[in-house]
Amino acid sequence: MRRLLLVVTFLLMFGAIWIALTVGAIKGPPANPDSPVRNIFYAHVPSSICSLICFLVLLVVSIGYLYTGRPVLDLVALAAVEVGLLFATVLNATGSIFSRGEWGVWWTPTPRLVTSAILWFLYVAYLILRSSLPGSAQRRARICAVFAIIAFLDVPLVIISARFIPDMHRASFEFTSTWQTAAFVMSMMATVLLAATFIWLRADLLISESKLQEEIVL
Amino acid sequence: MRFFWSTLSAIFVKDIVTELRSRQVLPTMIVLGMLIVWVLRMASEAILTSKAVMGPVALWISFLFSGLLVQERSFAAEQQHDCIYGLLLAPIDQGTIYLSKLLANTAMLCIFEIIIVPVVLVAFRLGPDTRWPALAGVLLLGNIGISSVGTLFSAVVRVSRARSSLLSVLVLVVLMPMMIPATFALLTVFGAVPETLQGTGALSFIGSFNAAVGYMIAFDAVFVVACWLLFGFAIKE
Amino acid sequence: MFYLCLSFSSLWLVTFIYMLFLDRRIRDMSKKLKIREPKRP
Repeated sequence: MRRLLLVVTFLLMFGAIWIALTVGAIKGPPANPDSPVRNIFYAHVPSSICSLICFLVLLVVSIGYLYTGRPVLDLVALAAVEVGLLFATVLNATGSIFSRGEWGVWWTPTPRLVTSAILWFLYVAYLILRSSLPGSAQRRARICAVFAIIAFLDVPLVIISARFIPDMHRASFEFTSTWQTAAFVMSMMATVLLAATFIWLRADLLISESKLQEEIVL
Repeated sequence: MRFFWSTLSAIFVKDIVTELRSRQVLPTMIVLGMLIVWVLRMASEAILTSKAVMGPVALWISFLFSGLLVQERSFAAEQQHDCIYGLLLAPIDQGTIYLSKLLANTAMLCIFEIIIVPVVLVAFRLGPDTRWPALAGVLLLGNIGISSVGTLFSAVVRVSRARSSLLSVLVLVVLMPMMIPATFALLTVFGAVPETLQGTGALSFIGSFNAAVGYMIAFDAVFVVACWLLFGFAIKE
Repeated sequence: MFYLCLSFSSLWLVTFIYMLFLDRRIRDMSKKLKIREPKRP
């Protein structure tokens, strides 16, 4: 099942790369039309949406943990935050490259860039919190769930700033050909599937790890 | 309801009286705040930044870091001789413990503000002209925001060895979105930026002073309610 | 553009193969753990 998912993701992503960089390529900025920098859009937008999905999963799983207290949910939360952070890092890195090519600076404090940096820092703080709490795993899980819920309160601000506030960072993009739409949809699907596969793999690994540790303790 | 108020006031009075008798944290935070203001004053002299810009910056930085001192102590002191178990075993709602600790921290930070604001105004040669109520309101809103998050995380980090460093990471990162409107509001109070701002800068998305205050009220309300609800989970052994 | 494309796809291919490898190892491990589980008193 998971291998099938992997293969589907692979094919989608492979197709997306080829379509996006050949027939669906986006022209560069007016100053430098040959530059391929605007094609980074195909990786930038899906990874931003994926990181938000991962953090939403984290929120749901954390609330679930506080309600039920099942240790599996805590492990899934850790997997979700790691994968979400991976995509947030990709988001910031691609955004930075794009900004260098488009506006000539690596980073500039516009609302969207600031809020996505905040998002990244929030979940890095989650990992720091997780690694520095001694004592029982139960208490650690509970405290991390509390922090995840508080941290998610800041996410609506990020979404609002990315959609509704005037910014030099555009919120929407007009496709000029069907190939571009196809490439974008394919890379979107591939990235979501990739995130799901990553969370699945990581959660599976963490669950096995915790089982092994239980055996050692017993 | 009467029970709620008596519990609230009992813990609040206990915290304030302990602080007034031991004088452990208030002098330290005032000195730290003054030092921060002093250092930023020197820096602003060197780089010739507008004083109306550096004043609010100095205020918020000194509040944040001095606030961390008082918040870190509010549960570390309970942890020291296991007084926390006394609080937890008492037949009271855990949310009430949170609210009274929040009140105590806010009061402590208010005392700090009363001392540090004149220092900043004198050091940076600033005056909010006729806008004293606006200044006080913005400072109080920021104060409640800082204390609400700080009090919850103080309960969270009390078991950790690296208590204060962990607390500063958690509090600063969660407060970052609130600090944007807070900075904007103080800048308009001191006249460093116009009342309504348009464009694509980091601060201009707040738009106006009223919107900034609205954002701050929303953040305060959300943080206080969420922390009050989640406190029980954070404090449980 | 063609070389960019080629390098991205080869990078992705390598990532994919590594992920398949990881998948196999994780599955093996959880299978082994599952076999051992009922024996525990």
